[in-house]
Amino acid sequence: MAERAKRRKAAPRGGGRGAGGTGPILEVLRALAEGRGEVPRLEPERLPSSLRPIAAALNQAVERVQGDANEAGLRIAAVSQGVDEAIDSLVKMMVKGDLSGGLRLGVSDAALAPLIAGLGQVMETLKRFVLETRDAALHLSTSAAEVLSAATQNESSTSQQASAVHETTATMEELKGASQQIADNAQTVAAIAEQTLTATRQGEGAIKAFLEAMEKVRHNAGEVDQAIAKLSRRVERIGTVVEVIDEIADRSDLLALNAALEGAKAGDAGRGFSIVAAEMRRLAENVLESTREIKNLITEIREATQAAKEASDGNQRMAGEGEKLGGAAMASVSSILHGAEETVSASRVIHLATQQQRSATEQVVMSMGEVESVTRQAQAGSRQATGAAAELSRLAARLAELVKRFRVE
Amino acid sequence: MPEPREAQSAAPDPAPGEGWLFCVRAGAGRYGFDAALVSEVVRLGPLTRLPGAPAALPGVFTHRGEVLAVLDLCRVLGLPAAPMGLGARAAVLRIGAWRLALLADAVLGLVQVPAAAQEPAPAQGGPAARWLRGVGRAGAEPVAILDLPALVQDARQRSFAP
Repeated sequence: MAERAKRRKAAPRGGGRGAGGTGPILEVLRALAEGRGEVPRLEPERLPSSLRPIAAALNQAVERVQGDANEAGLRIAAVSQGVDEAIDSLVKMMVKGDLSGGLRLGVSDAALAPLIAGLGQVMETLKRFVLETRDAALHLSTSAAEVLSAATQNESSTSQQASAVHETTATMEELKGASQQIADNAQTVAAIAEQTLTATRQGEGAIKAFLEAMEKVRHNAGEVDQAIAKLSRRVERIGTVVEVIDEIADRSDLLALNAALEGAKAGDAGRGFSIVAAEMRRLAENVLESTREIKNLITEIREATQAAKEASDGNQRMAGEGEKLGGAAMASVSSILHGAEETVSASRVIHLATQQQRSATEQVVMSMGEVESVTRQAQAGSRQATGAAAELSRLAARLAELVKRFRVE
Repeated sequence: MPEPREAQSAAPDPAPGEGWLFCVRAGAGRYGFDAALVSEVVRLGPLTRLPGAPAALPGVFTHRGEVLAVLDLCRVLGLPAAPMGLGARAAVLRIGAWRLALLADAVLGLVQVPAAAQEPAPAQGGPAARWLRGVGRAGAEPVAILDLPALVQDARQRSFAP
């Protein structure tokens, strides 16, 4: 506007020249038209008379226009000053961050009223905005703190979880080893039980053989008993026969003795008779000697058969005892056999179960590996989340700090 | 016990078998006497004991319808009683008119001892000294030769003594 006014003033320069005296007038008009600030005045005396009224009128018009223009310029300056002040005040407030006060202008112009009202509205809006921002910053700060705390907790939980998963994996590895060991042991037990089973079956066979042998011994002892009884009867019979022979021999001896007596009585004639009788006596004595020996032998045989009978009875008794013991041993071995069979089947089941357990444990170990990897990822994520939350918290604090700079009350 | 007749006049018959001794065992000793006195050797039958008889005469027994007194030589000689079980042998003697059965621990039989093999009885003859006629050498063991008629006589007299 000032530029234009200058131009308006400068426009008439160069005029005043023209043919017929209209030149100055044209110059003034052009200056007017151009809006120059300094419009030259006409000097009517120097103009032809016909033009003098026009010139006077023109001078009046110029005067008027110049007056209006000056007034307008003043007003513009005032308004401009008010606007500058307003902007200055606004800028100061913004720089200070003090939104508590209103705008106070040294200039009051009606034209500035809408601007001041608008600026007031802007101030109000800013105030609200600052207040809301402050609230939001506060909330944000609180939320960020909560997020940080939650993230930290989550991170520690994830760490715990990771270590727990690690421990679980290690434990499962141990369990796997233990399962293998149990499976091996169960196999060993099964093998031993198999051996026991075989040995026990052999033992059973041996006991059966033993029982058969005992049965045979008993049977044989019975036969021996019968044989001994038979022998006893025979020996008794021999005894009877020997008694008869004894008797006969004794009688023969007696006869021979009497014959010898008769021979002795016959003197020389009986000599031969006496010799025969003596020989007969010797024979009878031999027989008696023999029968005495036989009797002794019979006594010995009786004693021996009695001893044999007792021994045989003992054998029979012992065989009975042996059979009883064998029966008991058989029952024991049967029980052992049963137990060994059960042990074999149980250890097989244990072996199978532990094999299954081992494969299941392996699967668990594999799964735990996956879980561990996922947990590690979660841990990393959690750490990042914690970092982000801390950053967020810091930002929230910074924001709150920034917002605090604006005073609204 | 029947009382034999002609007891005092009885004398041993001069039997043809002179030199034959009939030997018995009594205790540890072998005693012999004239074989001609022995009519036979028998088995001692069931004995009938006589009440009040001396120990040397344990009883009587019947042989072929004849009742014979039994004289235990062992008791006569002061030895333990001779066995009188079944099968025990007794020598049936005929001393003069007397017949009796002589019992000892065992009847040994006949032994011939020539006069040359006979020795006089020793000074100490033991319990049989009274009737010992001599000692005969026959085999390993000596034979105490008894005067059996004298011995029987003594035994008889002792049994009748009050």
